[in-house]
Amino acid sequence: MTNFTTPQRQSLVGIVVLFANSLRKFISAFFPILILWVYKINEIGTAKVVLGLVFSLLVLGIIAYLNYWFFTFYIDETTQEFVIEKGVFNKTKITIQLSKIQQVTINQNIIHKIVGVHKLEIDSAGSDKKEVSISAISHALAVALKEKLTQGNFSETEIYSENTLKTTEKNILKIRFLSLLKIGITANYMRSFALILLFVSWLVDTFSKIIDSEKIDETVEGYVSKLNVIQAGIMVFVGLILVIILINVIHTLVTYFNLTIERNKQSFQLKFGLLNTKNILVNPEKIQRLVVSQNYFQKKLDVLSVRIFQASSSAQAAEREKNKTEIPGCSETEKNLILQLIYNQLPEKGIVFYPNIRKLILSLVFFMVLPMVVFTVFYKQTNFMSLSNYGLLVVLYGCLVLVLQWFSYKNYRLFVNNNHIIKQSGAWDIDLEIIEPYKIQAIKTSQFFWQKSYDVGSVVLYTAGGSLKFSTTNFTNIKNLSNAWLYQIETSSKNWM
Amino acid sequence: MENFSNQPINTNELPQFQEVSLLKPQSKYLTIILINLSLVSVALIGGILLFLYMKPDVFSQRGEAVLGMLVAVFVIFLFAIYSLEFSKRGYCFREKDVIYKEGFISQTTTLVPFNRVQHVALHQGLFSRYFGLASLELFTAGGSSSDLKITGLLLTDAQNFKELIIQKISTAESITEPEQPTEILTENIENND
Repeated sequence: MTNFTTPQRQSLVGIVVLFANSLRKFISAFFPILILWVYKINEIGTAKVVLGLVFSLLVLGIIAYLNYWFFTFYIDETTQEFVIEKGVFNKTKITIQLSKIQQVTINQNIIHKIVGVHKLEIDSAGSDKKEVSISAISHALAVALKEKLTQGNFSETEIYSENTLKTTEKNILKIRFLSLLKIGITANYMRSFALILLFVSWLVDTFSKIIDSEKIDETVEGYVSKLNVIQAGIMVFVGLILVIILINVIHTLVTYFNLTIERNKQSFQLKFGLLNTKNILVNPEKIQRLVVSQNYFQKKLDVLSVRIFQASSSAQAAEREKNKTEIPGCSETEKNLILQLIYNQLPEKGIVFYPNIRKLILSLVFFMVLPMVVFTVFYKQTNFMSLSNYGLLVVLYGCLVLVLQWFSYKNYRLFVNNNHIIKQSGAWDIDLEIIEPYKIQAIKTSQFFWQKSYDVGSVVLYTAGGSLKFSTTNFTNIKNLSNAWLYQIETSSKNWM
Repeated sequence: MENFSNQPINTNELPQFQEVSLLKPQSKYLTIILINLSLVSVALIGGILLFLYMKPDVFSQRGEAVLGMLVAVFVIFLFAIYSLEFSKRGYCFREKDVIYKEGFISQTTTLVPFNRVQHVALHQGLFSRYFGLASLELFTAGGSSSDLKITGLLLTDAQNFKELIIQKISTAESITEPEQPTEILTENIENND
């Protein structure tokens, strides 16, 4: 078909992509200067600013073209290597042995979509990240190259597919639009809550001035205006909630549009996105931790989301976030299919362990009593509102915390059987965290000195994809479990990664 | 109720980590801890004195006395806590894992199986070298909070334990992952010795 042995350039229209890339870099680098230009447009003169911008764009265009011109790639047949040469002044030559290529992905962001080109990324065994990529390549060429690049590994994968012949028929799971809609409406309240707070504080700030000036009228007009204020407040609140739900829905729909899960030989592939098409390959063996979360509404609507944590080489939390893959909008049956795919069986909830009542008491002390005491002291000092209002606030806060803590205590439990450890937690969004004992890296048991006489303590199980903590429960049980887990880890010959 | 028919493991017959008698770190290491603490205290007190010298008007005579008392109590408290905490430390290398116990307010026991250790490092600070001590650090893939550092070992012990662990890792690896190169490991040994 296509010959890749001679060096060739990217697709010509791809210059647009390169241009967009350098434009983005340029803007992020010179953002302050650009702002200054626009701000002082009258001082400097419109003509000069426009001239400067045009000149900058021209330079960027030339850079993009040069980048395009000096970027070539080819397959060296003699050494069995894939070679990329790039750089205008600083020449770079990247060579990868074909046999070391693990995975080739073809992605598209919005600019790629407009121009009609694709981005090809190569994952090799040597490097952690996708450092080798071709930013603009036509679809036909990308597919042909992918075929060519993965050919070296074909013999290996073929053997594999023979072993699992019954599963090679392509399993495709599609998350329906409706499910995404449902999850968009019901999920991520917490993330949105921060937004609400920010927005409300801004609102309060701006409106407090208006209310201040109307305070004199209030005594005249009596509770009529007060009623209006309350009505307006409720309307604003409802409007805010609607806006947040809308944002959530749009975000979920755009990011996860047309989410499909496709089963390959030994792994499965996720494809999603409306504007930016993403293509993620997940290897079930590498999954260290899996979280299924669902709240009350989602349960009624039969949707939930699954988060998958793969092994991350770096201990950094940010890196760990990157290795998280989310599958929102699964139904119960779809979730079971995914779990089946990952674990070859449905994780069963084994023996159940409950937290000690002291967990509830401790969290109530920390989240209810302590803040209340602090605020009451603060209140005594400043008297920032009337006593009745303050009392109401305290009672409301107390009830809210009490309810939340009670439910999180009620939901908190650990299920253990031979193959899976499942932790259930959460007050509103109920998470099921699943890990496999043989993937545990280290165990830490801990006990405060005052917990000793009550035989209460905590345990943390560390995996390469994050840790699982179960706290304030019977310490004898924890010790027995830890012994059992150690036994499982030390006798297991399974590869944990 | 949950289904209890799925009784998996009889944990009572397994080796019990909590019943293993632990080895204490070398008491000479407490001296090092106290030396370090003394240095910190001297720096703290020196800083405060310098501050008082530069800005003599900030505190009244009585204020200075109170401040002095507070600092003294704090320093004594630090020494007491560290000495107590040190008495709680203990470690044990078993056939297949290592147990390390530490902490005074919260007593933690860390269990790291050898077949999950990524690499081992041996550290020796300035004072440790003088006393012939060393510390051993085991790294796992579970992130930095699960890494285990055993301090206050005799240098010879630390070296022996390290050899032992490395041997365990490489044999474990040759069984489970024949392709995995152990070069990273040997590199590390050379770096640290």
